[in-house]
Amino acid sequence: MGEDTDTRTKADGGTAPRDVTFEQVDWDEIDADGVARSRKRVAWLAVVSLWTIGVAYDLYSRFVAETGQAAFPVLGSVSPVDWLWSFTLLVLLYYGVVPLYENPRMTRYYWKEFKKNKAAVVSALYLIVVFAIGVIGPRVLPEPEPTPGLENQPPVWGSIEAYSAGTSCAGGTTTVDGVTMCQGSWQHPFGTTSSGEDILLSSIYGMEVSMQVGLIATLMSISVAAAVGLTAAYYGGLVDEVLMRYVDIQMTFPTFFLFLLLAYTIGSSLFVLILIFGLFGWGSSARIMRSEALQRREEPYMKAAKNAGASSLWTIRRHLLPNISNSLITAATLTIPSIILAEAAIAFLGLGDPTVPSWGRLISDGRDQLRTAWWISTIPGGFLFFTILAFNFLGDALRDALDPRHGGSGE
Amino acid sequence: MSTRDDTTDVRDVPTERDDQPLLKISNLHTYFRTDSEDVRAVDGVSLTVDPGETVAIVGESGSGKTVASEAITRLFKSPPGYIPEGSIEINGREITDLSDEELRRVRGGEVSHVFQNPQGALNPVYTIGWQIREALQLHADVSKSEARERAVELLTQVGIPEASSRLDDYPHEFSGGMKQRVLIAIALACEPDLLIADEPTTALDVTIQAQILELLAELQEQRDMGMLFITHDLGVVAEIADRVAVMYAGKIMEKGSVEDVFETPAHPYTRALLDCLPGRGGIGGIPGELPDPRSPPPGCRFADRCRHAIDACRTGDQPGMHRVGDAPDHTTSCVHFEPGRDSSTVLDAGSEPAGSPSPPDDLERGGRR
Amino acid sequence: MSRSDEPLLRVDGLKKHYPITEGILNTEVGRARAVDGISLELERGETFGIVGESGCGKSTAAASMVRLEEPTDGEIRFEGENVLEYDAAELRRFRREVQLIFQDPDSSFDPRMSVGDAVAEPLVVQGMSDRERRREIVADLLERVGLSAADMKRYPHEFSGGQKQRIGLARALTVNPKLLVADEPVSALDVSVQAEILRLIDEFQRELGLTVLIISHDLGVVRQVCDRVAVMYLGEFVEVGPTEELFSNPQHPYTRALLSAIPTPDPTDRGLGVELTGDVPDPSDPPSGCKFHTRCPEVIPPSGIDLSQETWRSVLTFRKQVERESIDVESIVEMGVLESGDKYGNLEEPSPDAIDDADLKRWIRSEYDVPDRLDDPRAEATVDDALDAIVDGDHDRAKAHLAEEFTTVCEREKPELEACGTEQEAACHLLDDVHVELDELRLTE
Ligand code: SF4
Ligand code: SF4
Repeated sequence: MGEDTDTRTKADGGTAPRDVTFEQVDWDEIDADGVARSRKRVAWLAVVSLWTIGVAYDLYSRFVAETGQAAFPVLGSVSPVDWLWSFTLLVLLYYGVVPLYENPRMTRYYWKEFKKNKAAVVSALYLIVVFAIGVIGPRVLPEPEPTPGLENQPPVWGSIEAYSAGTSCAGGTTTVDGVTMCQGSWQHPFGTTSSGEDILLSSIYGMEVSMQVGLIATLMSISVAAAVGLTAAYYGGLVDEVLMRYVDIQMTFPTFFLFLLLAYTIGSSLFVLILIFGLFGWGSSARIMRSEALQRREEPYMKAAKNAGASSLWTIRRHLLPNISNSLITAATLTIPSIILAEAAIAFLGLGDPTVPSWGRLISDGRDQLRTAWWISTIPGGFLFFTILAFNFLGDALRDALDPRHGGSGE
Repeated sequence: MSTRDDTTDVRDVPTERDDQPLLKISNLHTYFRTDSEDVRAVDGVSLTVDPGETVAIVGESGSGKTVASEAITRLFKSPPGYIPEGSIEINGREITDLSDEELRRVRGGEVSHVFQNPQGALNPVYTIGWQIREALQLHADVSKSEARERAVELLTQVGIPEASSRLDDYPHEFSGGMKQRVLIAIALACEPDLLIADEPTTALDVTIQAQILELLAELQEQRDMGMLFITHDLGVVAEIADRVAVMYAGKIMEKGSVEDVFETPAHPYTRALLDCLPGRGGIGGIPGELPDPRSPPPGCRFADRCRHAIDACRTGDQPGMHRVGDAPDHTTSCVHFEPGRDSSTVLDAGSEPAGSPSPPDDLERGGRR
Repeated sequence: MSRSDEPLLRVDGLKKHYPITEGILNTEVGRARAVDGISLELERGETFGIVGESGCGKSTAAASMVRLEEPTDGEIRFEGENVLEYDAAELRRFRREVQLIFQDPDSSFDPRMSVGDAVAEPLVVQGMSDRERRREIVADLLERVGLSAADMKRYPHEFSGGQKQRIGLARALTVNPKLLVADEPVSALDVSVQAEILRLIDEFQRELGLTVLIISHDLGVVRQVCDRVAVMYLGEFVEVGPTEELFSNPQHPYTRALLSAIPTPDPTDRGLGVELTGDVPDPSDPPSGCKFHTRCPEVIPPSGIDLSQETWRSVLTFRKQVERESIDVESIVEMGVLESGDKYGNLEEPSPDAIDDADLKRWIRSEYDVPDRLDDPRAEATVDDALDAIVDGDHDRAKAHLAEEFTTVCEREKPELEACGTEQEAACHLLDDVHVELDELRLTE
């Protein structure tokens, strides 16, 4: 590992005409050069620009040309949530996956550390499955439709008294103690709801909703929180005072009520819900990050960066941000489950968009029939429960694993 | 260790007190459990301190000197730390097998500690008076007013002016040097027989250090107290100690009276360390790193950095402690001092690192002007 | 590019005061004078050291000189250009010319940045965008400071303190600076490692013609590497001179005290010589005149007073206490009663009124180490009067008595740095006579 660098430098040293030692650098020339960007960065900027153009075109056709949703080649029309969703996925890819791929040594080390926490590994697997099914499933599977006649079908391994179910039984009937029982079937592995929607299908659509809400809103919320928290801590003084007083005010107004208020005035779409939680729920995260950043700001390596001539932006991004990642992960692991739960609660209470196939809505569907058709509430409830739990385990393990100080050199 | 049984009651026999050491450490090991192998912080240390005597353990970071001193009253965190082997006797009583409860009576009673960082060792939310009283009352049944009187006395003894009015001050109202004085007062509260001072002046300025060293020497004389002084600074050792033990990588490399060790440093490590001091003519430090405390190499721990190393150094165990010259208890752990070998190979070598890995060519001219 | 006859760095009357504020309106109630008017010139290629105890302002001085802190007052010229007037681009270039090495190798590296990135950081922020070139420079440098190029990918915690300090040196050198400022570069390291780091700095200095400014509390370190040294006390230079002269012939009492406090590695030479009592005064309320007069063991007695130096020192300390009204009679009574044994043993509440005046006066004297009888009758009378006043509770009268008799030139007048050798300068009134004599000599010649 790394020997290649060693030999290469030595081999090049003799032949290469260029300067490889620091004394030979002509700084005036570099000063005159201006900024150049790496190829990776150029690609990223291009992708972001494309996305921005798409959004702009969509907005234009909706509100200026008033021709309704713009239609794109291949993609067709893109909903507002999908715009946010695609951007979130891009960010996760660029800032999460690409660095891991580029730095295999650290990746191996992180993995070694992460592996130690078995619960977290199981959680991660579970979440990856939920995430993958949630992202792909709704694109390839039919939407769950209410099917008259096939109400309250039991899951494949269960049965229900036929009079509680719909008129037909997908898995046929048996008679136990003189009662006709409706059997489950592979046609509806997890059974159906009281309106005859397939629960597996609905749960898969629910995965997408939960992932979208959890990830998009959290990404928004954490970004704003980090920006505010770090700015406040880095600059201090008046900037800090103003930002933190604003946070105080914002936090006196629960996001939940803000959502209710807006739901009544402009309608309660998933998009609105995500925006509300993403843009107004970051107060406590910002506080957590600020307090850690306040300590890090005093570290000598911050002075070292300043001494190198680094700008404030550079120092914040390259030094302050990575070093508060403990707080950031803590904040994110607190935010994701709380937002997913909030969305489920809103849907459960029937305050959300009734057309969104959320887990909360499914749970609420089955709440009157817990005695007879228990699976309607408990299956999506189980998904919800394990998702929340998995995010919590994952957060703990990530916080420990991502700190290069905790362990040795990896190899 | 075999003497354990017949020495447990020695405390009750006052006549024997004089000819037994106050502290006797024999073959002490202290390991720390980790995921893989144990870290051997202290790996076989033997040492005695007599009443009224100052013994210094000198070593660099990672030498195990602090762990050795903390092992005496088992102050290190346990687990992971444990003592797999060795014996520690205080006034003839074996204390490695004491229960935590009994050990607590030893700490702050017969044995007291002063630590390096005066900032962290005082609780910022209590007054100084409160903290001294606490130390007193933990070990003796004294009334509040008696405790106050004792506290004033103690503070005056450690040189804090207007002691009685300062009792109600909080730690932040004291300077670093004053805090260290307060800590010494607390350590002395129960009239310990042995004071363990772990780098007590390292965090202080030289002028304050001089004050504290003088204070310690004075107090020790008044009380005929034994002192185990842990430091990395050979200058301080020369200033305060009667005897010295040089530690490296968990082992004692050389020990003897301060005069002998400074006059005829025997172990190559001691010699190199002395050469690092400004004004001793040496330059260039000691190249290389400490051996891995998890799996120390066979033979002498210093072999990788030693310029006198020979094949015999890299096999077997750490060489035994061999006499240096005629001095009564000046011993060193180096093969060149084995009977039958010629110790002058080491003793007569100059301070210039003759065979050191990378002689700095342009520095042979003797440092800067 | 610049006139080479200019010193590399010229600092004139540099001050850095920190406001002490109170309340929500941040009203300024005082100023901590961390650096209070220092001047120096760094010649190209020299190694200059600033020594002093913690809190003397040496680190603040260094940070202000390179504009990591904005100075309150003064002028800084780098190669003749006014550093305080630099705009952002010029400042960035200045940052390249001046690099720092930090004290604590553990905290001066971002724990989440690999060593390669950390060393390359100055290159990146200075605009070198060629990644390959950066890597080569870093690899070369790491090897030159005694590590290997493969270490680039490792993280700071994987290195020992000494190795980290080598990396710190590499980071400072990447942009080929002209001035290297090392703030306590070795004080966190073991002695065996200190020497190696100092040697390395020294080697690079020769090779690259660097100018080095070393800040340290350790006179041994300074003596080993510096050409010239300034001794700092409470924000001011009290003595400046070539290292050897300053160490072998210190002119300022503070320098002498510092030197004598260093323990020598020689067990036959025990006792740490002159000791400074007490602590460094509060920099927000520095003493008048010579700032060292509250601790100076050689403080000059007023003419006409004939006391031993030690006695005079204790009388002056006593006077200072009276002036700050910090004579705590109650506390002294309590101590006195405790120590007197039988005489006051049956007192319920020890209060000053219940004590003999003579006893009380004796106790006060012993608390401040003032002898029971001073040899000089005039001084004795004054001290006695003052003690009477204190026993009566009339502090103003005590102050007046003492001030009248025991005012020294050291607290009245501030000594300036004056030449006292070929290149040595010190700020002390003890040297005034020398100057007077020198002047007279010159006049008569
Ligand atoms: S035993 Fe060998 S390696 Fe160890 S100090 Fe002696 S000569 Fe050096
Ligand atoms: S001026 Fe006076 S007080 Fe100051 S150093 Fe000189 S003798 Fe001491």
